[in-house]
Amino acid sequence: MSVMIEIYYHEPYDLQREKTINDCLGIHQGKVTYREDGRDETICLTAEFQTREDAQAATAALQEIGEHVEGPSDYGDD
Amino acid sequence: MNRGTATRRPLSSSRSQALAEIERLEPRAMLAGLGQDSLSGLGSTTAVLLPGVSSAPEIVLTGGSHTLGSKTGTVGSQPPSPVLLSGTGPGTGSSTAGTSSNFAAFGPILFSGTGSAKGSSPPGTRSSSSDPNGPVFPLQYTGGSNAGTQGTGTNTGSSVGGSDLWLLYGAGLGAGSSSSGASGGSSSNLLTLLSQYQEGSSASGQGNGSGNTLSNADLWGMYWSGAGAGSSSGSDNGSLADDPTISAQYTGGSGIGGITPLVYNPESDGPPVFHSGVWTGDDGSLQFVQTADAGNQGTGAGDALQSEGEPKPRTLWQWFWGDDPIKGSLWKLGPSRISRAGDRPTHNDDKSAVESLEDGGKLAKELIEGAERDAALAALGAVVGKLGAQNGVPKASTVNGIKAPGLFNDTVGSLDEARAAIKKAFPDAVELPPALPGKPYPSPPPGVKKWFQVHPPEPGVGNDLPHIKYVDWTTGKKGTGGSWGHLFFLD
Repeated sequence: MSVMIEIYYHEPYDLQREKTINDCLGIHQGKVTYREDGRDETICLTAEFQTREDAQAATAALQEIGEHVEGPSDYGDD
Repeated sequence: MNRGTATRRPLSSSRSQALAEIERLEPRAMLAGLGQDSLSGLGSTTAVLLPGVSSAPEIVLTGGSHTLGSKTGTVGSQPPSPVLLSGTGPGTGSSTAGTSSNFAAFGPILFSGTGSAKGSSPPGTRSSSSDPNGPVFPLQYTGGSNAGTQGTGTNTGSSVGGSDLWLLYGAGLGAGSSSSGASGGSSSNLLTLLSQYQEGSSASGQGNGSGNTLSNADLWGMYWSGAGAGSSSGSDNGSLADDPTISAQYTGGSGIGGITPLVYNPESDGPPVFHSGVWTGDDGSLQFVQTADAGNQGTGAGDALQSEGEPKPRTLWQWFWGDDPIKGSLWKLGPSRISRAGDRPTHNDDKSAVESLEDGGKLAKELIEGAERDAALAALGAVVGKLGAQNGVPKASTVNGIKAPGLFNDTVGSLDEARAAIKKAFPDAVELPPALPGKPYPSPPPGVKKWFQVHPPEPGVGNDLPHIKYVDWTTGKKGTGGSWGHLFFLD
C-alpha cells in the first residue's frame, strides 16, 4: 500500500509548472502515477509515496509554493 | 487508462451538464415535453436572466404552480420574453401566463408538463390596441403523459400590426384538450399564424381558430394525430383582401374523429401563394408536403392532400428551420429572445411563413456562440443542475455512478442530496471534517480508504461549485479498480 496526494491546477497544461511539481515530489521520494487532464477545466496529478511522512512533507512544500494539494491519503493496492 | 472518462458519464460542472442536457433534448424534445423525466424533481421556481435581457426572465423553470403574472410596458420597449418550462414533475400544477399590453412583442414560450398528470397551461393574452409593429409570439406546449388542459391563446387587439404567432401543442399519451386560439379585432398587414395540434393517444377536443377582417396572409393550422384522435375544426371568418388564407387540418393515425375542413376558394380569395401541409405518419414521424396548388386541404388523413409531390419525412427542426440542428447549440430567437434549441413556432414550412418572418426581422434564429454562449450555459446550468432528485432522494444514476470503478462527477441539487447519494453508494464510507477555503484540507486518518468530504468552491482549479469529494481506494487505485469523483451541488 502507498500514500497519495493530489495536485490540482486550472487548465491549460503548464509544462514548467508540472516540472516544478515533479521536482518537488522527487525531493520527497514521490512521483506522479496518474494524470487526469480534460475534466472540464481541471488538471489533476496523483502522486504516490511510500510513507505518509514523505507525502506530508511534499504536500507542505507544494502548498508553500501555492499549489492546491489534497491529501495525503492511504491509497489502494495495485 | 482513465476508466472514468471512458466508461462513465462525462464531466460535470453545471455548465457541462447544461450542455449535455441540451444535447440530449434536441431536437424532438421541445415538442414532446422536454424529454420525459429530464426535468423531474425540479423543486422550486427559478428565474434566469440571460444576457441582453433587461427585465423579464428569459427562462423560467418551475415545479408546481407558477404564475408569470402581468407584463405591461410601452411600445418599443424590450418585450417580455420568458421561456417557461412549467410543471416538470408528475402531478404538477398550473402555469399561467400574464397579459401583455402595448408591447412591441410578447414572447412567452410555455412548456407545460413534462411528466405525467400535468396540470393546465392557460395562455397569455395580448390585448394591445395600438401595437404597430412587433410580433405576438406565444408558444405553448403540453407534453408528457396524461397531459392536462392546454389553454386558449387569444389576440384581441385592434389595429394590430406585425406578426402574430400562436402555437398550441398537446403531446404525449393521454393528452388533454386543446382549446381554441383566436385572433380577433381589426388587423391589417398581419401574418397570422396559428397552429394547434395534439398528438399521441386519446387526444380529445381540438379547438377552433377564428379571425376577421384579416388581410394579407393568414395561416391557420390544426391537426390531430395519433390513436383515438378527436375532432378538429377551424374557421376563418375574415374578409380577405389580399393573399389567401391557407388552412390545414389533418388527422392521422387510428381512431380518427370528425374534422371540419376549411375551404380556400381561388376565385374569391385571390391567387394562392403556397400550400403546405404537415401530418404525422403511421410511424409517428412528421411528414411534410408542399404544392403550388392551393385548394381545399385536409379533409381527413394525409392522403387527402392535394399534393404534387411525395411526402418526405423531416425532423421537427428541419420542418421549421429548413436545416439541420446543431447538437448542443443555443439559439436566440428574434431580437432578444433566447431559447433552447428545438423551439420552432409553427408548422408552416420554411418557404412560407418563416421566410416572411425572417425577412421582417421578427423571427430570425441566431446561433449563440463564444462568451455569450458560455454565459447562457452557465445560466442554464444553474437550473439544469437542479434536475434529478426530489426531496433529497438521489437519482439511481448518480448512486450507480459513484459505485462503479473509475472517475465519476455529477451535479445534484443540494448538499443533502449529494451526501445521500454517497451514503447510499458507500454506506461504510467515513465522512471527513469539511474542508475550508484557504486552509489545508483535513486528511483521512491512516487506514481509512473509503471516505468523502465537503469541499468549498475551488475556482482556482476549475471547480466553481461546492462539492463532495469521494474516494474508494479499497478496490484499487485510480485506473485499477478504485472509485473517485465529485458531486457538485447548487444549494
